[in-house]
Amino acid sequence: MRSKSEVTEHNTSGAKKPLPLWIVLCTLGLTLLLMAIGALSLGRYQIIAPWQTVQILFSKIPGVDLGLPQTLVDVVFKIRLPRVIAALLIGGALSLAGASYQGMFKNPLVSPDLLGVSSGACVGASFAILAGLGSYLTQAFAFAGGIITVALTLLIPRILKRDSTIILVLSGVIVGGFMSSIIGITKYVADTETQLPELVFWTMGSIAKVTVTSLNTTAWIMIAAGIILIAMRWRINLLSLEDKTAKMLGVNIKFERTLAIVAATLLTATAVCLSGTIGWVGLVIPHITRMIAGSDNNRLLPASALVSGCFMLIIDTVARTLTNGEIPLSILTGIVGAPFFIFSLAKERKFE
Amino acid sequence: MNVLQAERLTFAYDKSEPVLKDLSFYIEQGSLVTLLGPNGAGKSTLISCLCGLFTPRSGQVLLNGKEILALNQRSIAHQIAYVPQQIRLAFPYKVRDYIAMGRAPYLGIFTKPGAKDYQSVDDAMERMGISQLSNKACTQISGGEAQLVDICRAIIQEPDILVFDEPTSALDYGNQVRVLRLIRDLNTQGYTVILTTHNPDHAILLNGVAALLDKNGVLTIGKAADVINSDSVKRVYGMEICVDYISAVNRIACVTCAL
Repeated sequence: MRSKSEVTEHNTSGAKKPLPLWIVLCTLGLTLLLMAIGALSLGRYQIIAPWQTVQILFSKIPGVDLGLPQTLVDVVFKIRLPRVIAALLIGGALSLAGASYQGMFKNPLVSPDLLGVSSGACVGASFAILAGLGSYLTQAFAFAGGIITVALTLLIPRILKRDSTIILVLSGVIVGGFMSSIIGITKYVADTETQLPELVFWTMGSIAKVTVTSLNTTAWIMIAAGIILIAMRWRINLLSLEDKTAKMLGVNIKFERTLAIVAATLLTATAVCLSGTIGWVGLVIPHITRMIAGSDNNRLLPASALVSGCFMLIIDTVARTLTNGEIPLSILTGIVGAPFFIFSLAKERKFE
Repeated sequence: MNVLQAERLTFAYDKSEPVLKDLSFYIEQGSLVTLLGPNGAGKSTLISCLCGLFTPRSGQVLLNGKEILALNQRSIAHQIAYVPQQIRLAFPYKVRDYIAMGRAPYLGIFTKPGAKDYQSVDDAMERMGISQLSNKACTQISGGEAQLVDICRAIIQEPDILVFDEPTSALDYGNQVRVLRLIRDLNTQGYTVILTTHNPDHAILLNGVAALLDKNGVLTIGKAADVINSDSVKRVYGMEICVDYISAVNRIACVTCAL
């Protein structure tokens, strides 16, 4: 075969070898752990020293009695720990779904709501709220609403008999817009004293109402769907190629994309039914993570789940400690996320 | 042995007039086929049919004697590798990671390339002389380099047949010739090669089989020396073009007449 000097025009040395993935993940994991301890220590009731928080965590091991005040143990385990776990799960879920969506729809500007899952979940939740159903059923309705909406989005290309990524994205935009209008209607008819504040909760996001019971039912779906996406993360690279190229690499596009969509939709739907819609996370965090870990989805997916966990921990801790009330999360993610997005675009310089 | 065979192949997009009409031909193992034709004649369409990407209206394509549409995508990928005109990527993957995607037909849906796969990636890059691109982003390399990277990805796929869609159209004059040489060398190594091009001279240079597709969907196929002559080229392109011996380069060449 030809030597390199013949075809390559210029010398291209200097590109650095990427850091091994395990180093990236261990560093991020350690950061996450420290942040989690910090988040458990901070709160409105009382600020606990971080080392004492660690002691409290270990006090649950049978046979260990460190003689810590019971109120502090309760604050950490009953109030803060469920929130911290929820923040980690929701953050991880949203950015895993976002990174996968961006990959399989070949577009870095895609967010997990692309196929209408968030607006559908909001419609489901608002129906339940208008009907006066309890919080458990509201979550179930939100979950069902999200899944049904995505199913509807997937159905449109089939009805049109045109199976391309563009048509799918378009039908996501159409269905999402339709659902937003329905949310508008439900807000319009809702009781301004009782129902409207609850609807606002769904559209702006908060982890305040997460309970151990609701975590118990949803966490397993999240973990299972997350494992599927993490396991098939290299295939997302293939799905991000042009359809023709991917097909000629032996990829069963329909099957693999559907599997990834189902997993990402389950992740987003469970996240939304726990906390309502939280904007920006699924869009911005994968971008920021690409700067740290690179574009290869093999590295991006696990890394962005950890980065997003850190991000949501910070956001939620600020939301519950900064003022006497709860700040809706979408407000904070937007205020922090938008500048970050500009920063990452400036760094990437790929939209010129 | 025939690796690819078209039997009364007719193809049309949706309900419109057929682009390809009743084509029957075969491609022998180890041959080097250059497919020529004016814009819109259906070169890419024919390539897509041969790769099993499109379903013909009637007739069939046989890959090693089996109907290609009856094979699954994975087993087609074990035999045919496709090199698109240009790499179009939504994300700046590193060259090494991009080439490793060529291992996809051999990997399960929940696995990723292992050390052995990456070893064969590194070996192939070494052989093609592009090792220094390894950690560069695919978006940072030149058009000529990108073509090599894509060919490398196709070789990693361990196919019998390499299909190139206009491998030279995005390249400068020098790189066009270099890629043609590389394609000839690949053919010498044993790959069956099919490529499309806009330049009849490429078919003459490669000196294998030439297939000339005209606007009416009629295909003339045979030895390049037989198929490419002043008359056939004039007819297909509707232009004064001359195929004749040129003493300065000591070969038959295809050149246009004055504007």
